[in-house]
Amino acid sequence: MDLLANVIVTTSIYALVAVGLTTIYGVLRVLHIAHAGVYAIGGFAALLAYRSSGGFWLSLLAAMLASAVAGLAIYYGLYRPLLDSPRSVPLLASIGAFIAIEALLQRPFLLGPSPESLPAESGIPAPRLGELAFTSIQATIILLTVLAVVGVYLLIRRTRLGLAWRAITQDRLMAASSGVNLDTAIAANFLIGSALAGAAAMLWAVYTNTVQAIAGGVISYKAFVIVVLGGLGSVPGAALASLVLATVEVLATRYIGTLLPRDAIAFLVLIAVLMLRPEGLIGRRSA
Amino acid sequence: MRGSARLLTILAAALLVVAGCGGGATPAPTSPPAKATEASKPAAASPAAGSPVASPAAAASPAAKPDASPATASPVASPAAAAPPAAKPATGEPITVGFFSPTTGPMAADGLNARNGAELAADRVNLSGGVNGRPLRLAIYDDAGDPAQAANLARRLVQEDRALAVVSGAYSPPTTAAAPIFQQASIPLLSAYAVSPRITAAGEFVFRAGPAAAIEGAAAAIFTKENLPNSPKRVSIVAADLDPTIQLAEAFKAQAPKEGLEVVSEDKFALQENDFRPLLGRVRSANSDVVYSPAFFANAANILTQAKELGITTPFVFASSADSYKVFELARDNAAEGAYLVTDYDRSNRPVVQAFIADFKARFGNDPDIVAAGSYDAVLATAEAMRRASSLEGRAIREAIAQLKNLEDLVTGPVEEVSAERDFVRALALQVGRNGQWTSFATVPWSRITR
Amino acid sequence: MQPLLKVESLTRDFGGNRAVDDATFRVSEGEVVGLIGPNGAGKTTLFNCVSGHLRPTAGTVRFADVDVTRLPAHARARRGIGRTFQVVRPFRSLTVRQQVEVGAGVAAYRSFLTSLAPRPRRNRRVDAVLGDLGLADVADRLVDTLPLGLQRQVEIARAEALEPRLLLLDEPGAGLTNPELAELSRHVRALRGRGRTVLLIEHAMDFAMSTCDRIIVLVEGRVIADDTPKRVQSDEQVIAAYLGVEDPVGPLSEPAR
Repeated sequence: MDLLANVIVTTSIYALVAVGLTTIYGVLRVLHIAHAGVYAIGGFAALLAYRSSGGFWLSLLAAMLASAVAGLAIYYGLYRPLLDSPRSVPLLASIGAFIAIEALLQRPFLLGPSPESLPAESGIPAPRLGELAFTSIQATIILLTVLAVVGVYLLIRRTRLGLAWRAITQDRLMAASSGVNLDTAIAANFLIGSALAGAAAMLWAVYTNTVQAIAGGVISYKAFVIVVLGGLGSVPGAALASLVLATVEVLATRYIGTLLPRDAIAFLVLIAVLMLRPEGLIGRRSA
Repeated sequence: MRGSARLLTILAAALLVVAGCGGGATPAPTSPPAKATEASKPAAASPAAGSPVASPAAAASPAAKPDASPATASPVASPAAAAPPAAKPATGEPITVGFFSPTTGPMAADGLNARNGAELAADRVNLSGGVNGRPLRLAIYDDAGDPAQAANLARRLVQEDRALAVVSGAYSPPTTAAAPIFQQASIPLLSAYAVSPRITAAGEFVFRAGPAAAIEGAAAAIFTKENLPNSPKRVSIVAADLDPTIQLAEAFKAQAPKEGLEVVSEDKFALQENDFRPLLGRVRSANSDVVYSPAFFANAANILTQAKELGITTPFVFASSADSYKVFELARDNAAEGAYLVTDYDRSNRPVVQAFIADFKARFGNDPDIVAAGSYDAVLATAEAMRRASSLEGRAIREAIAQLKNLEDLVTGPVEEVSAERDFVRALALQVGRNGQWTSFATVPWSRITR
Repeated sequence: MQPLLKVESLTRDFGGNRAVDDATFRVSEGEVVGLIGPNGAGKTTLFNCVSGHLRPTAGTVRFADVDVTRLPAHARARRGIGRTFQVVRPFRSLTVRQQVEVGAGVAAYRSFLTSLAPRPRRNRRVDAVLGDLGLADVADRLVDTLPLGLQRQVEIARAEALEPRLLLLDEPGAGLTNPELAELSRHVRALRGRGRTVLLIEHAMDFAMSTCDRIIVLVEGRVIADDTPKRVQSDEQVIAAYLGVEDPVGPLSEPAR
């Protein structure tokens, strides 16, 4: 039963990071590698806020805010000037930005190279559903993720902004000639996706009691696997792929153990799914 | 559209494979290793400039108070076997000793501490007369935890810096990559704490100050059998999936039958893993009496916290790779209390250790750990060998290192001699987490380990 | 009639290539104007400069007496310049209705906060446009599951849903069969009947000649003729440069350079 809780929590964190990433891919057609840096910045902001206030929710807010600002800065400073260049150019810029952010955060006057501890308490009581017991932080993570993913889904399905995103995903020029302001729509996407990454960074940092300058790397490459698995740009796909990856990872670690390191599993799942369903899990591309 | 989407998918996959290799290690900077300039000046040669990070003691420099006795000027100069009693600041032409550690990348925390330890040692050497009057100059490089970068910087140390000897404050893979280059150039290399047997296998110019994996892993098995309560029998191994920690696990397994221990489960995890809950569930179902975990300090803190959360009460024995005060900082709910640690860093009340800790803390703001202590000692031992060497030629220094004996005042504990395998012969310690720090618990002599 | 669109000395360079060279023309309220010219003559570039997808290198675009040369595409769309695209690029995510909703400005918003407001469940304008173009039956199908002719209709419906004062149609007839072309021609004339101003790029000459009030001929980026279809057809310069002597009304292939 610990395992089930573990699967759900891992799914949640993956989904938070991947949902932002997949919508950003949708509107911009850029593999946003620097999302990993945005994630790391969120963790750093949470740490600073926690140290000065001790509050869980304030730290969460700080993480989301800092990540949102970082995401916007990357969009305006990096991708927007490169919108019309070949897709490999923003990709390279993104990789560069990620490395730069990580290196910068490692400087001692910022986060420094050492992992730091973040023992915040959300105050949400630890629930127990029959056999299934959750710790307080597990419950918090699951609750916030459900809110976030449903929120994003509704945003896309029901709001003007969501329609604008889908129109941009379809055809950027067409969207613009229908009165969609590309700039603000894409910026809003970065704002929301980055804030989710910041939330994920804070929550995972509390769950593992570790804030690290290099925290973004592993989780982000898994998020990329998830985005590809779920079908590039698809939010429900990303959520489902998060569940698949988390389940396979946790169960394999628990029952197969040492055969291969946990992080390699992501790639095996990716390869397996791409071989069977090249469009991703929820690709509904009708030829 | 469709074609380009597929192309992107493939590109993404390729990229991820690249990013994922090496257990998700961060991309290592590919720029040539940067030399840390602030440390390459000998402290005594330009004492007033005495770099911004210098401790107050070091800043009260010999130039400002030329007649101040080092003993009052600073605990740095507290009498040590490695320093001759006639303590006059060194002048004259500097002697270059190379040093490298991973100050960027995933190992950067350890790399910085190692570098700080080395710098502290160099300053201490220089405040107490240097090497026969000549100041020691450290040529410092960053290996980023990357063997290729280590090989590069090794060539630079040989060709450009003309280092007379080199100290490695790096982990096994980079040190292993650099060792043959120094061997070929006949420049002695002293590895501070890396455990891999392949390091000293490079040849007669390569030495190891800390314990080899075979020694430390065996010592862990001995401690587990002889010193842990309730004389455990069944052992689970949970190791970080990296060369040195895997070597430690192998050594433990090799020694276990001799001690009457049974290894009932064995697992690996990626270096950057921080959710150990699934793995701990697996360990719990193995029903072992004790867990041996060669892991890094952040891993150790997570393992302890999450084991406590899951209600696992099996004692954990960690390896020197987890030797850091950070374990206590990072573990929640005092989860590190009662955890065990096998190390060679002697945390006793010996004055030389207390002085080192005080001085390190004053200058760098945090407690030293095994990588700092090991690098500090390796620099001191190298300086001592150079003092004793018949000349400052590579072979002479090599001979002097091989003949080092009874280094009583190294902070990682006294070294009896240097073995034929070019390992420093010393006792190993078992320590236990108590009141938020590692505390001495038991020691095992070298002779018992190699019996 | 008031000139609705005034293009003055418009020039656009791509690197060393001058795609549009000092083009000047006007389109008055209620006119249907055809822009013709061989492939590579700069028609689509000129369109893009008018719709705001490209900035001209020099010259001005005035729309309804306002200089819009520096305005981005979405701002011009909101002022009443609608356009279609030559290549239909349906993606998998939108239905016909949603596509037309985008065109009706549902996706356009004034600020981040208003963008988060729920979009209306039903939009009367969208329903009307879907009905006008015979798309009501396929309203909930994904665009890429429709035949090309219908996809074109969807594209026009999207542009029309904006209720633009000026509608730019980029090769609306390309790839259509003759009956489909006749249907299109009827539809464009109906637009004019409703007072819509239309500027269209066309390759199918008989379609352009029969549909438009006026024809502008663009060759190598320059306007070489601007007159009624009849006079353009007999313009010697046009015939020499572009139409070809023998087949003045046939479909065109490569430009004669």
